[in-house]
Amino acid sequence: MKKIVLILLICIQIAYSHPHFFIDSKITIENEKIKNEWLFDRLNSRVLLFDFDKDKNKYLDNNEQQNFIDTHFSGLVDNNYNIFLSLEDELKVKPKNIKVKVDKKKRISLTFDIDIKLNNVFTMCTIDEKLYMAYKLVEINSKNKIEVQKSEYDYCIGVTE
Amino acid sequence: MSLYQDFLNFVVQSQQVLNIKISDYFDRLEMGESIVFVYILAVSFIYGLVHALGPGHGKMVIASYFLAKEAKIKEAFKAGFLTSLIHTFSALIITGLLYLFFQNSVTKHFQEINTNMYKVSAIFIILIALYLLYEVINDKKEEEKLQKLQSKNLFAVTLSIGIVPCPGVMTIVLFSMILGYISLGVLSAVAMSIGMGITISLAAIVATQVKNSKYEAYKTYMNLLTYGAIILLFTLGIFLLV
Repeated sequence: MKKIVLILLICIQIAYSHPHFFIDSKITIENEKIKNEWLFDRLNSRVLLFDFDKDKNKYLDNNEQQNFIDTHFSGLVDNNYNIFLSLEDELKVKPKNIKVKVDKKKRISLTFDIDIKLNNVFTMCTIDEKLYMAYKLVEINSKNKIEVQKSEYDYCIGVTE
Repeated sequence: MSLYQDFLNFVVQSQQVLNIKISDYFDRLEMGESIVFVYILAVSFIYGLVHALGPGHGKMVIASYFLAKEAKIKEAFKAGFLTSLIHTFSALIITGLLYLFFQNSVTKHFQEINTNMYKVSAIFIILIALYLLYEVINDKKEEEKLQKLQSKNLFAVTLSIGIVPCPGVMTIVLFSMILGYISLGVLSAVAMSIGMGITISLAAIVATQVKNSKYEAYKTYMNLLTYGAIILLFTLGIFLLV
């Protein structure tokens, strides 16, 4: 079964695109939430800023942030926001506290929290099966014992205790 | 499986490095180092080469077509470059129009157009697969008629894949436009297109070498290959459609 899923995934990747957004991902695991940060590459950040920073003040106000979220994040709901999260069963991701900022290097960062009681063993993977976005895990903070598997375009974190 | 993942890792990592290089070179260009525009064009060319190595860009579609239908290397080469040209220029034209008429929502509209074009492309690919099947099943005695149809077919295949505008080209062109380097953006797209053309052509050429008349002795296997390629083409179309 695992092989069939992998073959299907490869078929989807072959048929579809190759990465266009290169995202550096930072994860912080706390007792009752998982904090996510997606930092977009500079090339795409500049293009996105041109699109969403309507008053050209190099800062995204609430309306501009919402516009960005509606266009480039909300649509990911169909793919569980490119996140596979499993305690005993797979969980639906409900991102909260979503914010979009521009850092000093003019890179756009999207942050959001996933509220979840983490008193158990769990697995979290971030992957875009169509490979439109490549997620590279660059930082992980957790007090739990963790195992990480990562590539240039996806990653999985397993909390073992 | 692991070999495929290693390859994908290499392709993604290389593109990320090139992506950073392009931003850095534009920084230097803005600081007045005009010679850097040559580096930008060179990096765009390599970016095109590597970009098309990754999944997408219709390599599988074009390879399936040439596995199903015997053709000369010249035709495969032509098909690869034509696909890349249409793929690039559709992105160039759409980006230009969006930049002129839909400022502040270019990425949103581009994404919508891209998604819809994938569906159109999928329908084209399915139709091509069905047409190839019809051709294979039908009497092949009408050689002359088939010869005439071949160039039309080739154009239909390249158009069906190329019609999906390349988001990679869109990003580089839009980035250049935002910074005020419109002609450099267009030239970068052309350089990228040549790079992608080489990679896509290679996939097509390899397919023509597998499906070669010198293997006439293995006719049964060649026939199986034809049907297999048509099924693959059809499946790829379905994957893009659903």
